[in-house]
Amino acid sequence: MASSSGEVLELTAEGIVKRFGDFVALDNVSLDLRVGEVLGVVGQNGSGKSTLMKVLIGAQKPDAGRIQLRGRPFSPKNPHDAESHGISMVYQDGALVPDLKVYQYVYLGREVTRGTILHSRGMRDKTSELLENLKIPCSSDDFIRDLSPATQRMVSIAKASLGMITGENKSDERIIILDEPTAQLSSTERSIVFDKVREWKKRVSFVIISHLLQELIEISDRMTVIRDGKNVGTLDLHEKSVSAAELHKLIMGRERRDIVVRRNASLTKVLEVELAKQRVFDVSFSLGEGEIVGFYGTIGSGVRELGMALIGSLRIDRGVLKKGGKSLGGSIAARVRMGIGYLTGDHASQLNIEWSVQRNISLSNWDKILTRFLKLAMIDSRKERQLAEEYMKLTNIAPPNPDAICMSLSGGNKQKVILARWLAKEPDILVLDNPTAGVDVGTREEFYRLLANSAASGKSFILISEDLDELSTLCSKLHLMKDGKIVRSLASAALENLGDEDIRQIIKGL
Amino acid sequence: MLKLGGRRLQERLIVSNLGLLIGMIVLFSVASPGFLSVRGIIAIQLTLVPILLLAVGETFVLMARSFDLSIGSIYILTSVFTALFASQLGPVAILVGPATGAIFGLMNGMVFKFGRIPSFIATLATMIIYQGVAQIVVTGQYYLFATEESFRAIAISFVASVIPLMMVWAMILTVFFIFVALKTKFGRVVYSIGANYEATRFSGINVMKYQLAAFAISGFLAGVAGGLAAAQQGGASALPYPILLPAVAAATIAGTPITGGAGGPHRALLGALMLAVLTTGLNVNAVETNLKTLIFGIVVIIAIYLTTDRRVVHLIK
Repeated sequence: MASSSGEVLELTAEGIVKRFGDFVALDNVSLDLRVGEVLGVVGQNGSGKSTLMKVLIGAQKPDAGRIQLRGRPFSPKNPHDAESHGISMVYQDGALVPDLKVYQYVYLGREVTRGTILHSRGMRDKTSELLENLKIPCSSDDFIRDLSPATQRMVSIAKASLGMITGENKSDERIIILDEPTAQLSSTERSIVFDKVREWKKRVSFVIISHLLQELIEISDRMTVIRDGKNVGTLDLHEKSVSAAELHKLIMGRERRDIVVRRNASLTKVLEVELAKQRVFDVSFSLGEGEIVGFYGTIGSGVRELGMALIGSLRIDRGVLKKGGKSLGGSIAARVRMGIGYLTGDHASQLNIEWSVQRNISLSNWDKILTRFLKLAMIDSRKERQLAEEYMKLTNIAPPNPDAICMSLSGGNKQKVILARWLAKEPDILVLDNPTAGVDVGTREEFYRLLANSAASGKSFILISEDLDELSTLCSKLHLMKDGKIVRSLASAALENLGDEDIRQIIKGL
Repeated sequence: MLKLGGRRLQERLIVSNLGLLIGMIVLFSVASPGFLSVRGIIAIQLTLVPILLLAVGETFVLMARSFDLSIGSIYILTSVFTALFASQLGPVAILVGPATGAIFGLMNGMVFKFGRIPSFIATLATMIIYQGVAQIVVTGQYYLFATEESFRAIAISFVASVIPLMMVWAMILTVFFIFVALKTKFGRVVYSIGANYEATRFSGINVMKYQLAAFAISGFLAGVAGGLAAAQQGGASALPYPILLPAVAAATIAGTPITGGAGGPHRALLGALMLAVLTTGLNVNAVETNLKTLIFGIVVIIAIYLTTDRRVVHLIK
């Protein structure tokens, strides 16, 4: 079966409908994937794109519609069944097992045995074959934990392509769906993974879900936008180039709103930092009241270590770290007490995931939820509830249920819970480390607006990010870091006039 | 939207453990009518008190993502110290147990904190040390008598002719600590440490302080149990007494995971009740010792299996 342009279609889905009770997750959605292409799929959290993928791999059964795989009807009973037909998905959170060797991980769940004994040699050899085939720079005997994040990601993609080599598939072709494959990776690592995808394109058709519009544009042949359960358009990037802004408009259904950030910060210095000749960085800067100062750096630039040093989780040897003239205490607890907070995009280290939203918001905000009775600090459920509701409303967390368990929330909403906690705490200085990693565009806009409002009311922020768009939107001052030093500082006037491309050029030139 | 086991699953677990408990009570009373007699009920309580107190203390330590293996030794050592001072202090001697217990608990915490040794190993060591100290203290006498009426009355005088006073103390403390765990900032923080150590640390809490406190509580409660034991028996010896495993079992079988972060002392109460009923029931029915151990182990496995459901749900994203 061929489309009008002569391309062979690998997979087509037509008229897919999926309801959860009254809620229509997929409303007559169609999608097609050509052989050897990279199809980017974008959409807000809750737009239905994840549900669509689950339908494609057999994790959900659609209420209506049909799927054709290479011209033949395809209705997988479960993901395992789908995999044997050559279509599988690599999930966002990897579920890597750090203490296993590469070949053990690759064969996890489908170990080859001779009778009851594991046929290690066979698995090892096949894995080496696969690694060589896909040109992944590691060996079957390496431990997962010793690999770089990018290589780990590649290994999980390799795991999904195992059928290709072992001949388990009923067919030779292969479709792999990647769900946020570059989440939590640095930009260098991301390009490594995407280069590999380009290499493998010849033998595998990819569907990539991502919130990083710019990169997806660079790697995709075509892109499909899902909004409110509908396919609102498929763009062919070879016919016409697409900008992130255009995509943004399709995804959101409206123009992007402008964030107004106060550029001329007051001169009251809130934070003075002079950390010369530390092990991993050597910087000196100050932060003003109501200012948002940005730091850009890739892995190895020391920028993340700087963030950790500011909150107190990384020891610094000497140096000056003063807030409002007073030296900062050594421990995280002391710094938080002095009015410093720390928010990262890695919610695993910030969120008690099995707890409710309400309890995660109140963690750190003891003064707002306690009543004292005979020297015992008791938790006042009513106050806790009020606090949670107030900040859930402010950060627009969905679903608006304070008792919802955080594990069930989408990535963006999880981030909002952490943000809600810190907004409630109202630290004078909040250090943000890649706060919007893996968060969809709509949520990002809300985040930015909240940060801008907070800054306008006098709170200061340090924003560490690899997202230039984010940095130029929010910051009044931007420090570029490389090899542990600030190599260039851009002030607000310069930032306003420079576009993303210009900044990228500056960074390339460093 | 993910439908999480969450609350409904927790309720199911309590119900199934309660069911197990009731089932055992019915079974034993049918097998031997003496089980639910006055003597039987008293026997259950006498077994229950030490297991309960130690389990509640251990629960706090577990929730704080640590392990206290020394509670059995603290129990023995504090009972020895209490008996030592009973003749001089009379009923006031009952305070020796909790006081020294808390100190030993703090010492556990210190080894853990300053030695930077994992709590499992640290308390393994202190378990042996405390036992050794107890044996040194009783050298020569082997059994310390503490027969003063006023002192013993604290444990064995009866309320409502069926409830020994030691049970009353134990329940008061248990209810208090359940309250602390569920309703106070302290309890919430301890849960948080077990749920996610990193997140708790980054939220600005001094984690060490709370873990130290958990060890102190565990030592304190073991000390209360030790003191009451000396009063109840009218003396103390340094003979090793296998109470560690029943206490840990009681703390974990009814829903507090080994890794902490959930469950709590109310679960320990249920667990302790189950084990006390089981032990007494097996004794009353004169079940042969080896068979007793076997049955004990099987019941523990069943109860833990019912708890493990939660962990499995947790792994499925």
